[in-house]
Amino acid sequence: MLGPSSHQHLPGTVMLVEDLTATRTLQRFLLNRAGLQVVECADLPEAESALSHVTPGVIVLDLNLPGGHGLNLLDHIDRSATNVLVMSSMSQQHTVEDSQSRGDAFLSKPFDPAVFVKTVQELLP
Amino acid sequence: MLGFGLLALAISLILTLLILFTGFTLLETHLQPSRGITWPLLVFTCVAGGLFCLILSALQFVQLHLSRRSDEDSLRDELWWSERLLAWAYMGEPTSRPLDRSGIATLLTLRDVMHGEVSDRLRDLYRQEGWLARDLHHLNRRYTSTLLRAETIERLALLRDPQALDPLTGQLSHRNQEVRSLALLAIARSVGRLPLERYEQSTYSLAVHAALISGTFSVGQAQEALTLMDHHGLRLSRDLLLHSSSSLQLVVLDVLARRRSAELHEDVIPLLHAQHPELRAGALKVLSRSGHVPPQAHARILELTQDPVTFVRLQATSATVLVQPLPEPDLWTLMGDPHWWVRRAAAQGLGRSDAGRTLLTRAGQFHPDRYARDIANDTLADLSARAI
Repeated sequence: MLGPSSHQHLPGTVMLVEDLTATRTLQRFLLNRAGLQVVECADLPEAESALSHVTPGVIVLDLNLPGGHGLNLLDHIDRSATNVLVMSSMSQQHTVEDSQSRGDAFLSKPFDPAVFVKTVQELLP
Repeated sequence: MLGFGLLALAISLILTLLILFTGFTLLETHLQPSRGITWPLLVFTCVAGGLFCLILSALQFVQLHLSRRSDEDSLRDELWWSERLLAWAYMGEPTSRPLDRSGIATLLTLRDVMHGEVSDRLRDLYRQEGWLARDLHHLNRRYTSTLLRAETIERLALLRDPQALDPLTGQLSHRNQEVRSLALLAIARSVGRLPLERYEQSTYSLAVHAALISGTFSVGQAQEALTLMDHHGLRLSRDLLLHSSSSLQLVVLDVLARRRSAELHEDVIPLLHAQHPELRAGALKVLSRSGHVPPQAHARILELTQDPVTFVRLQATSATVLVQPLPEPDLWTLMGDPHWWVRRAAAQGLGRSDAGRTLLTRAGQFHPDRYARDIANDTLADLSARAI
């Protein structure tokens, strides 16, 4: 999905890290409607690779991903340029302590589409 | 997947060559001129075996290729349906074709991942296209196969439609255990997320209550059902805490601890006096995980720091560090507990507050127990490292 090899700072861009196609498409659809640019990643290796090319303004991070737990991505993120929104089901809330201690935002699934867009917009630098 | 197929093919080729090599080198000396048939037979067997390996590998290769193509097709379908359904839900654009199985799966995923008006519109589309009627027909028919019944219940669990709740409740008494379990979770999920009327909440909560106390569901299924019911399951949880077996009480305590809920503390506190040590520990865990220890429980929590059972003392220690003002003498004693986990819980708990850190520093120098001094100093070192 990412062509250029040079690293780009894209503060207005949102990176979606979500393995379910329908959910990712919904998130992209909602953010595009709000006028935001989106980069999509379907698994952890793809997200790690994308982060070596792009520094987005916000990462929307699912927890259950093929190739590893979503929280494993936290160490690859430049916190000075990127905010994180962790998306998780209500039964997984106890697993995000580490993320919350770093000040990341949290939104449980199922989510309200309007709240999702508003949260992402607020997290953009 | 393609790489795996190539690897299998390469392995089979190597095996074929090895078989031929074995035939030519190891058995050559045993061949006698009088037995002219042995040699061709051996070669034929080796070649046939090799061909067999090749054909098997080729079949596996084709199967893997088809499986990958099928996955790609279903991903493409899911993407297509996601875009069509969202365009329909948000902009009123027609979906251009009736919902097929792929469309249904996508609709249910979208319905499940969000709530609100758009999510309800997707549910209505499911009804309009006749899928709900079809599902209810499958459930009500006596001779529906178990597989079809299970698939139907899974769809209805994602759909969360009030019209499906009565038929799902009927499945709680089905003869097949898997069907009953799926129905229980489907009802719990619906009750947890649907804005039902009060009497409907009561009716279906009672159905779940009856199912749980019947003892036909595992601990994990009971935990999952209560978790899915979320705050709508609090009344049921209270009933189970007060009037059920110790195993179900433990289930409720575990769910409350995971949810970090303080809403049932009044009903949890009496369990601090339970005879069953796991119930005492479970109740303490609920209090400590909620981050709020009610004043009326302080005295009992401090008593439990001297409980003869280690895991009860461990949970009591975790709760004690939340008591205000900090019970320094008790924590000082717990730092010298014979069990490392208890000492560690006391030290880590103290590390969370300024007063606690002061006590830790003192313990690191002056505690009479050598292990207490060690755990205090280790904890302080960890805290310093994290601060850096």
